Amino acid sequence: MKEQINSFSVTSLLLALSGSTYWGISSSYIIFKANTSVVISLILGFLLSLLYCYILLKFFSTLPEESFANKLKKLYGKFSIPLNILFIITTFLLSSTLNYRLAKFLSSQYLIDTPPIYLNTFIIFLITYIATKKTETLTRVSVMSFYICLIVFVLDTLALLPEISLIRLLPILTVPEGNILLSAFIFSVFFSLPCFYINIVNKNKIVNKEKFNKSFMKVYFISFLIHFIIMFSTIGILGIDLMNLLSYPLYSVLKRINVSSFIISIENVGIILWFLYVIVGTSAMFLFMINQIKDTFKIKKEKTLNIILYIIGLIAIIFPNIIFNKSLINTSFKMVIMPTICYLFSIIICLISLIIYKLKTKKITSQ
Amino acid sequence: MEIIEKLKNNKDKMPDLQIRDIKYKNKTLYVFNLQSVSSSEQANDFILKYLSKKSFSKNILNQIKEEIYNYIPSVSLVDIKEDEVFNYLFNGFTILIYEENILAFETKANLDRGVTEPTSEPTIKGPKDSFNENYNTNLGLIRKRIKSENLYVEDHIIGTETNTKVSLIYMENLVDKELLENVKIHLDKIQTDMILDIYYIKELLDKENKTMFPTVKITEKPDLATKNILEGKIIIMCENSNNVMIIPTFFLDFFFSDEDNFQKKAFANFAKIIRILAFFVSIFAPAIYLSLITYDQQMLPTSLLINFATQRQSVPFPAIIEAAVLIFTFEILYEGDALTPPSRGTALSILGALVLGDAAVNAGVVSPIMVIVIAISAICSLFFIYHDVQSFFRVYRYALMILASIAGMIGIIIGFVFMMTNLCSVKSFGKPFMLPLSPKLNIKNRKKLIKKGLIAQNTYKGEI
Amino acid sequence: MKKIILFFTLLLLTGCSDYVEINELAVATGMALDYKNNEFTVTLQIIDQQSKEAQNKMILFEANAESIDKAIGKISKLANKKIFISHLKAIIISPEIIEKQINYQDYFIRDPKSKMNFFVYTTNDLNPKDILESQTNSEVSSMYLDSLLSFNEDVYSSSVELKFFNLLLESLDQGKNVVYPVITFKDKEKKKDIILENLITYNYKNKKLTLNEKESITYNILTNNAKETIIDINCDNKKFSLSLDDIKTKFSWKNNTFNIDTTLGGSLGSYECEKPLTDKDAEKYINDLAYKTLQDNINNLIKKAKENENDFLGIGNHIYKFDYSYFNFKKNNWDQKLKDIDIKTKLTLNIISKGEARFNMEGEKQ
Repeated sequence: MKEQINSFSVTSLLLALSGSTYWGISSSYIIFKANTSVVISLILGFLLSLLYCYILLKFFSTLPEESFANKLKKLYGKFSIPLNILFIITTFLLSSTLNYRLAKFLSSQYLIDTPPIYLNTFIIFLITYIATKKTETLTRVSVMSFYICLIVFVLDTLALLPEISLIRLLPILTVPEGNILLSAFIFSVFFSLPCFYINIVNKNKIVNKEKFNKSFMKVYFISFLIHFIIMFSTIGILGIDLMNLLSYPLYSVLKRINVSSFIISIENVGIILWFLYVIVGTSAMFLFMINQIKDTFKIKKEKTLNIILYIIGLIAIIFPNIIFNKSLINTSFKMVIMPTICYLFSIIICLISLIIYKLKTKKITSQ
Repeated sequence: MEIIEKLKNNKDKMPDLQIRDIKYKNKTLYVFNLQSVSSSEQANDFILKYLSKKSFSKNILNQIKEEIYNYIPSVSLVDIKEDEVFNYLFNGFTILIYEENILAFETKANLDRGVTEPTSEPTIKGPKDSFNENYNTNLGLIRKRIKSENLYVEDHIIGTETNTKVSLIYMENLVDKELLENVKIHLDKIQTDMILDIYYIKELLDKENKTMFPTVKITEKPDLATKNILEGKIIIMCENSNNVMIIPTFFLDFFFSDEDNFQKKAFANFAKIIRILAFFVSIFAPAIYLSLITYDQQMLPTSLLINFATQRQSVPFPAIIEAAVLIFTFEILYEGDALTPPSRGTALSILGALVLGDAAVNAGVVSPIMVIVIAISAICSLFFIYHDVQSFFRVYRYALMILASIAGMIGIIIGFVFMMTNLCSVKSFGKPFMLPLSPKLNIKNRKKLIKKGLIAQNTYKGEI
Repeated sequence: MKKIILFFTLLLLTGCSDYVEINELAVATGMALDYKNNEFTVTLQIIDQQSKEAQNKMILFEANAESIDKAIGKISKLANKKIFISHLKAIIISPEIIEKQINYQDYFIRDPKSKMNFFVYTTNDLNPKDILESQTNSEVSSMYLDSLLSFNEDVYSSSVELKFFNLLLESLDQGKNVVYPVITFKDKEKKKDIILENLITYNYKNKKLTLNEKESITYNILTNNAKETIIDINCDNKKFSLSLDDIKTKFSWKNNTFNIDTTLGGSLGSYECEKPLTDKDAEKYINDLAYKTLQDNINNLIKKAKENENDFLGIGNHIYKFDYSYFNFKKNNWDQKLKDIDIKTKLTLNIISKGEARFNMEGEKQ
């Protein structure tokens, strides 16, 4: 049967994709750099990221009937094969980092005696299961997770409202301006880079594609609002000094929920937000990898694709264990520097492809 | 003709075959029927009386076919060929053979019970007639409710040995053409030797969906069936079966009962919310209790924690095994209750009450709080009249309990996401299963439809 | 597909190492910390799960070690169970720990099972262990410590509700010294009947400062911690009382002067003065007297803070938040600078009602 996908189903992936990097990695980094002016840098970062969204949307609507790898093939010819392989490798690195980060968080805060590799296997098993069901199922799961995340977020914020005191946000502007701009840039990178993975869908398959851009901007804005409110209220409750002291401030703030003294420790239910973000986000990345492999190496049988998927999953379990366990300093370096490189890489490719596409169409129309 | 010889030779194997030959001068008119399936009264009344009364002249004999066509007082008359004779004989027709003309009259015997009350779907306020095993009665029960010429019926014959008649019923102006084509292709692909009931068709049509949840709804009430036809769905009706199948079905259809049409709207909505809550409680309650006791003791208030601890002081098993033992006894009771005839059911219920009630708790085998949790979960699962949903509950209850005793709250979340993707990957004949929830649709006329009182849940004709 | 499920089910058997049965836990509800000879003395009050009485019985365990973590490990060895501190209600610290600035907070921040919402008390001269012992042996359940402070804040406001979380916030913040509530026995020889005494606070030189009851109530008024309180006011030889329930204070820092604006609203509690209430200037009389007493209280408290070089009111904190560059809080000591700050106070008083009686009995006799 034909695949029929809604434009809202595709754009609901954005909440999960942009949130998956925020919770573990970028939030602690921007607090460390910008202290209380993080509020300003969030807004600046959002405005910066709109530029990337514009380029991405334009690239998404060129050659709408082709998948991503075929687009590159048409534009670059032979050079597309190493490019596609590079995309596969960068996606793999990014997704395995996010999975391992979640597993490490769970192992250090919740299930203390289990090593993170066991939790990583659970997560990767779930992700490969979702990825074998292909794009349509993933979009439906992401719609449901969108609503679940909204409801949990609203309930948590309402429960935490009495504890916020705005005076803890002061004093603003205690750090030099270079730090504010740097944290704005890092935030825009981590917020908008995963949105690149909506390329798993060909634009022609979407039923109402005229509304796609509008729907994209709506969901993007909602996602930013959610993250902004979370950061704002966390500083209002914990204060900036305690946030720098704790390793997972966005989780520890949920320990303060105390509704009528009997709902006391709901933080383990609040984990579902981070969990759903990472799972939906990284399964989109796995699907992207499989589609790339399918198109560059021209594999048509489904069984071989599934086997390749399981092999990638196995490597993703073993790989972070080797790299991230050596020293603590290198971990933070790799977790922050590597996504920026992927971002610049993807933005450069998109720009060049757009320019080449326009030149080609000009040649055709002028002939 | 060969067919006459064949039938005469078969008289040994088919002792209920009746052969009557009427001679007119040189030529003979043969009348065949099967005594078990056709009613001899009808055959006598309409055919033989007529034939014996009428005096045939030569002209009439040559044009006997037209004569019979025009004058015989029987409405159902079919002109058939040699290879279709057996088929019509087994269906209860009386065959008339004269000189290469073969005619078949319908004289079916009434071998069924009448229209009775439904047994598996209890009704309080609505109409209380249900389908029975006669195909014509079933069709009649639908036709008397939809008196429109847009109601189309299409026949297929499936099953090499049973040759059962399977028909599709739909409204021409409301149905989705693509869906119809899809169903026809699926039906034509079926190659089996026996179709005894609608459940056999259900198994064969639904092979590609690998999930525990039932994906097709089967009902035995005609008012529910007609309501679904008028919403644009297709009904599959099978001969000798007192159930019909509704295609396509969506996840939320299993939560709406037809009693809601006969009650006030506010109360019906309240009941729907309670059913959805019961669904979640039944699946998640034992798992949440297990994870609260073993991994998440910090979520309980202090006094409750102490209560649980003093209750579990006397139980020697770990919590997961205690829960498994209790659920196992409950399953035994449930199965036993379904299979015993009502005359022996009381002893079983007394045993169940004694065993699970005081005795187990006092002997120190289980703790009282575990009995309460399992009982709540079991009672909430009995909310769903539709029986096939129970298998879904059982599997996921066990799976979530095991996951909860391994990884606590995280295990429950993993199980929940797995369940969600499993349900979302189901396609009911090309339409997504979780339709009103998962792909969210923008329908402009929705408000108008709701105002009119017809909440057309599923008349989305291919707009995804 | 089936082989992968097999492999995964084998993995399932491995992740159970966090499985703890509820009977293997020892739930600790109270803790007492002491520090002598470079060693922590930790006393834990644990609920007895095997008692079948209606009230939960408590058991006390004690251990000495160089760090709190190790001491708790020794206690679990004694009790034969794993100690569970998520349900901790209150801890009692001896004053030496605060004076010597010993770091005991790190254990509670780092341990993932601890929630930082238990109450913190200190004692004056007593051993913190004695308080826990009296709670264990008495008939009142030991969760009494938990509600002691919250009731006080609602009704009398003579003490401060200090949760561990707020203690952390205040000690990490600049320009405010932490104020601790003190707990003692009413009858010191028999060691019964726990009551809350005054407040104590330490400045940067570790000099101790105690606030008596009147000053504690004024402190609560100035820091918006008081919800309801009762004040006795002199009128010639006799007294009348005001019960205040609408208390608000605002700080503001403008032109290098610090302004404190207080608004108080209340009603007459009891009136025993000689002046009859039906006089025309009775209201003004009451207002003037009350105004004078309350203003004096506030000014005396600020003077005490300046004289003892101890900023417990949060004046420095407010200046840090609103005028970041006025003073370098991280390098210099704010407590020394407090005397140079110009502080002005302003008080508005609303006495709303006079209770049920329209006039007093003394007045009628005249």
